[in-house]
Amino acid sequence: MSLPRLDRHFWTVVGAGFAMGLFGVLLAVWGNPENSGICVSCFMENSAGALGLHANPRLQYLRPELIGFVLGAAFCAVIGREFRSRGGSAPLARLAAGVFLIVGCAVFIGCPIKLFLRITAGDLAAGAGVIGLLAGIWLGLKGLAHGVDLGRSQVERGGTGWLVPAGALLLLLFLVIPPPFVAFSERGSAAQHAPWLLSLGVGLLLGALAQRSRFCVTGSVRDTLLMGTRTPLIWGLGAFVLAAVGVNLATGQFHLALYGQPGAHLEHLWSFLGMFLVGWLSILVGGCPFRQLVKAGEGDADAALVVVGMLIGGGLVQSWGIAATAAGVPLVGKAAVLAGLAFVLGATLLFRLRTAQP
Amino acid sequence: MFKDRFDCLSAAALLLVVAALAALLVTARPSDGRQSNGTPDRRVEQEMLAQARVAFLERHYGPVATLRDRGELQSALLKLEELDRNFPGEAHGSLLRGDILYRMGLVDRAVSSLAVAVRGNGDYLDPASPLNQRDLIAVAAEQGIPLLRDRLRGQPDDRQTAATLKDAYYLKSRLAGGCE
Repeated sequence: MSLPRLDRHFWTVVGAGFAMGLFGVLLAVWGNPENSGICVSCFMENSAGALGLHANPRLQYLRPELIGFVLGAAFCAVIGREFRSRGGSAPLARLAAGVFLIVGCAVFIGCPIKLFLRITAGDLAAGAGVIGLLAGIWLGLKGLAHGVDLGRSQVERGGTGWLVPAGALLLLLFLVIPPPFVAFSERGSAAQHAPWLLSLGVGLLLGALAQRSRFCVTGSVRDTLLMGTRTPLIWGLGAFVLAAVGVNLATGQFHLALYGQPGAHLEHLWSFLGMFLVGWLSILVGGCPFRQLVKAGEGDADAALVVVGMLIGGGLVQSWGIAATAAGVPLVGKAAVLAGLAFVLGATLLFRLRTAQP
Repeated sequence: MFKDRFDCLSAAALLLVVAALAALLVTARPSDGRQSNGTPDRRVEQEMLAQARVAFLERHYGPVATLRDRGELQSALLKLEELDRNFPGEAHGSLLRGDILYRMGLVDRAVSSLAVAVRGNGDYLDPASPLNQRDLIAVAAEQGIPLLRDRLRGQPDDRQTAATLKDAYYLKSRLAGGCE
């Protein structure tokens, strides 16, 4: 087994992974829904509901963690002189990819971070999702190797990159002084939340750490498939898993079982396909839903469009009845995952750079 | 940045608009902007709907609960059937049926009814809701799972029992919490 260089970057990655595992569990202890201390897709659905993009009264809350991820990344990027307004690469395809990222997550019930939080809490029903995510990332890499590429982003004039941090600040204002059109659930899983200042603080910290380290779940798996154990990211993922298992055990939240797990269903094929779609799309757009938020905070307008797509997706999965529940995956959800796979296959064909045959 | 008169005018206009926006927001009263169409605050609207729902259920399903509390369980079930015709698919009917069946000792049928109720309305598991029936649902699922597992072991081809066991696991999963 070859090891990466144990330099500052390595320890930043390990620290980011450890902090994510630690706070991912602790946020659930402090009030977030069980096994959902951090779940970008659930938080997107909650935030979309709060802003009136769906009418499910049990899923409406502007999650401060999302705001923190963006602002923490923006702050750190400015300090590190890495903030650059850039974009212009296949914007509409990225917007649609953002919608389908949330579709895949909603059918599985959780983003890749929550996938690992569920597994580390003993939820065996998430196993199919892990296999699906690995398979999706592997296939996405095959696509990259064969020239599938949405294109490189260009530096943009006009400081457009600031729009996302500005939007995050506006949402923070809505959270602190809620206007009449913003709704917060008083029942259901959106009513379960850690104190907002704590959530915001954790979000800022994780956003900053992720910006410095480039840590992300799908990126860790991708780099491991490409470089083996030489990549620091896999050690970051290892630290995430260790921290999450440790805190779950210490706080009595570890329950090894297939049945009766919080926010989980038993339709394993659809869990597999949901995460398969998320893994594949994440490779295509360059990172998991969490990474898109961090990149958007760094001024990346392409990632910002994925984030906007995710917010729209958060509304659609509830309005159209796509999201799975503990009762299973609805027909519309299954159809939406297949539509997502059709989208990613279409993008694979249309965005492929083919070399001229001799 | 400000190289000519056009830039200066644009910057001045920007400042003016931002100042006007700030003044508008600072001086606005809470009721401003809502008088024109009579639409209440979204939160108020949701709270009104929730309270109206509770009042509706008390009005129509109250007699069933009274019969149940008096121990007239068969009469309560008959009354529920009548209500089902008037309000088909209403989750509260399933909830009360589950409660009554549990009191009659029919745990398996109670589990199925309670699962239908929770699928229809998650408030039955919410400690903050006036409709909260968490204790009943927890005890029914807890008793139902070993019972149904044993029955399925004896009759592995019994599809009805398999479906009811799935319902019991569903209730257990919902009781465990997590995202909905």
